[in-house]
Amino acid sequence: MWQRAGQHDKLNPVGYRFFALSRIILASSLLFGTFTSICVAPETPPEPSARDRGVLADHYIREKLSLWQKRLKLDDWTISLVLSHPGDLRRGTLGNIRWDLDKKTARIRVLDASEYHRPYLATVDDMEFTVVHELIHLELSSMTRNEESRSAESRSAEEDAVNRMADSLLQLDRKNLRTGDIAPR
Amino acid sequence: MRRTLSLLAVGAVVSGLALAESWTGKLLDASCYDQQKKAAGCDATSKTTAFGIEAGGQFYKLDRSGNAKATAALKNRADRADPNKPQSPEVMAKVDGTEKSGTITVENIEVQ
Repeated sequence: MWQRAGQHDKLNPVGYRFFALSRIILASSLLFGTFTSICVAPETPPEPSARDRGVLADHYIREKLSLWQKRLKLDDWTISLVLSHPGDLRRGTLGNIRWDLDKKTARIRVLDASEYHRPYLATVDDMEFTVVHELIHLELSSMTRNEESRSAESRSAEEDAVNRMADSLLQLDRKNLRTGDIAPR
Repeated sequence: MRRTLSLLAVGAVVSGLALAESWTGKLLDASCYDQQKKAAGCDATSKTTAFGIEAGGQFYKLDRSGNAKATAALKNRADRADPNKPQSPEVMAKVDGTEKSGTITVENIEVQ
């Protein structure tokens, strides 16, 4: 029944239909495979060069600071941002904030992009996390604190809470950006 | 007379400039340091009320205004810890001021 191409005319009707059907299935499978690979294959943006990485990250993170400062209603603060190397940060930290409540000034230090050994997008995501994390600390800075609330244990609990809040805000923001629910402000 | 006054004025300015100094080092609990006579285990904390700085192998106490500035600097700060690294209890600081008999009259303090 299964004969070479060119001998179709010699096939009986059932054999010919089977042969034609198998060709259609094969062609469809190939087409479908190609189509799905085009649609599903994730687009990996090219990694910027080491030199561009710093400039791009600097620009990105300053834009993000301005955006989150507005969102968190911290416009009355003058906040500066310093990209820092580990020697300028406390050991075992990725960034910090120092503020002056009376002058309403603050300085955020964020670990420089060149110090991250990660892909560019993961790097700027983490730098943005530091900015949001420190701005939440600033948001809480106006709250009255007693001696106990300034203890190491209490600070550690606050740190965990601030991490969870920053993570939630960023997850929501990134989800909304992906689905287009809310335009970035 | 005028020359003498000018020289005195210049001298005062120069000596004033010469006395203003900066110290960078570990911020310590001065009371703890007084008892233990060593920096180990005497890191400044939020409970510290009397501060000192160990810089260049020397220990200096901060004056009253310096203690208030150090307390405020420790209060008005937050660090984002790296989850993969242990955080150091050490507090490094840069103190600007003038020193007399082992005590620094603090003009400004910056906590790392």
